[in-house]
Amino acid sequence: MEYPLPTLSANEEKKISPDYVRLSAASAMVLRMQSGRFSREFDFGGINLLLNYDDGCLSDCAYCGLARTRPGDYEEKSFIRVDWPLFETDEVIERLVRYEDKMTRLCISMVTHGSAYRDTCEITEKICQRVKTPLSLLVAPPTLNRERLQHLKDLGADMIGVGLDAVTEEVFFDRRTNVPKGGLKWQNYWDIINYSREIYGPWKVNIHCVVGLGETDRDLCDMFYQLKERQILAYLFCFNPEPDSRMGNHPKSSIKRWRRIQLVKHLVENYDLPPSALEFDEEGALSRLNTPSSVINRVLRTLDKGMPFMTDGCPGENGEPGCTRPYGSYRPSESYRDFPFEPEMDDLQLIRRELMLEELVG
Amino acid sequence: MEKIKDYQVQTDRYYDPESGFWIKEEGDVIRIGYNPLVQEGTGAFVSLMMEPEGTLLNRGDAFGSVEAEKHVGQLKMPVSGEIAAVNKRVLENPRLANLDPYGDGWLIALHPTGFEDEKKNLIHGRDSIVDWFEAELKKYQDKGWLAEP
Repeated sequence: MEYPLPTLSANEEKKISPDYVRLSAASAMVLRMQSGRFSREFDFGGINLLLNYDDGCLSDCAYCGLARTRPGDYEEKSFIRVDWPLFETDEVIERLVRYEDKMTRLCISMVTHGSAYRDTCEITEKICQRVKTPLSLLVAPPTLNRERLQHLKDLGADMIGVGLDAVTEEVFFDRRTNVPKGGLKWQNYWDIINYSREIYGPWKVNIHCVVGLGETDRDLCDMFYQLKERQILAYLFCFNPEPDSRMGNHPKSSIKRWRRIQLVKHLVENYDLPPSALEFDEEGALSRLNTPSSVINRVLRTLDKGMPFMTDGCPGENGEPGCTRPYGSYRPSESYRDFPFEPEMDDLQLIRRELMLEELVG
Repeated sequence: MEKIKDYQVQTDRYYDPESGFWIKEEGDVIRIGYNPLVQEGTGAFVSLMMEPEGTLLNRGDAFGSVEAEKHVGQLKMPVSGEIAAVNKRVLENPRLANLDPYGDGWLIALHPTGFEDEKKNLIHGRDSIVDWFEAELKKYQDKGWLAEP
């Protein structure tokens, strides 16, 4: 049997933003624009849209599926390892209206492209005119400035995400600046973070921190304290190698390291764990977690019902987890790196084994 | 072949109501594959693993596992038997099971060990298959596993 490939003629309409957007596979399923299901059933209402251009993202980050020099046509590229099917924007908005009762949080992800700001404005405006579900923007700093961030807020976005990804300037330089084409600038990212914090307010800006790009545990913990001080949210992502990207053969963080980083971030953010409670070895790896209070001890005993291990994401209207991205940084056949639902008893037992807390707390 | 809504359903074979697999007698072997509803409702397959030829398994035993974009699950034997052939093409390209579930996307062939007795567990005959498939289709729609126009 032959499976014909789609053919494109020179006159064919270009399927690019703002008329077209990509949807994460999970979002497309929930909006019933694509068939499929999740391994474990749960309510999912975090809809992620991604801008789409023929020439793609003009950045060239070493770990990203959309990187400019990653082999393959942009149309065929995956992003966080899954396909992002393409749809007409108006059709997506109709589905958002139809299924608004299931929606918890919407997000438009920009890419680094000359049209991205203009198109984000147009799509933001269209969505906010039709749907009340809160809308975040995951922004591309090279395309923005203070005025533009203010304008996006005026159009209806209530939270800003910045994919800083690398938590130190050195790692950022290695992975995102010193690249074959389209290097990004650390200072530009921080300018946009600072403007966003001023404009959007406390706990309305989030920074994506990827675990596994070459940073140490100490680097990550330093970032958690710095962001907390400034009332900025840290969202953790586990590095997940994209085949054929320049980091395609780079190993993923061990599950033990990942779980410990999740736990420490939770303790820093929610229980005021002081920096003095953390000890690191010569290479910056977390080596000891002192328990300065009975509260911290209790959290370690109960694992706080698994809350530290749930997906970091923007909240829904009433503060509930809003953007839970199932299987965003792991395959369905792997252990849940972050849980899109409250972990159950069996999950908690597995998490406890993965943490190997007895090595840290004794 | 019967058209049920948007699905072309083969009625010349058996179906296992537990797994949804079709089962077709072909001489002394039985071929097994996904029905079009299960493959669509599971999503795009990205990985299939199956036990090797010669493995002897009972009905209900796992003969492999499947991973789709957002789903992972076991492949359960709809009937008992010894695996006579594994479709290597579908192992290399799991999307074949989405694109052509009755044809090139078949999964395994078996030498059955208790088929005559196990037939009672299976759906067979045009009317029974149509009734069962329509009920399954409604279930999948209610669960939200199928794209809507």
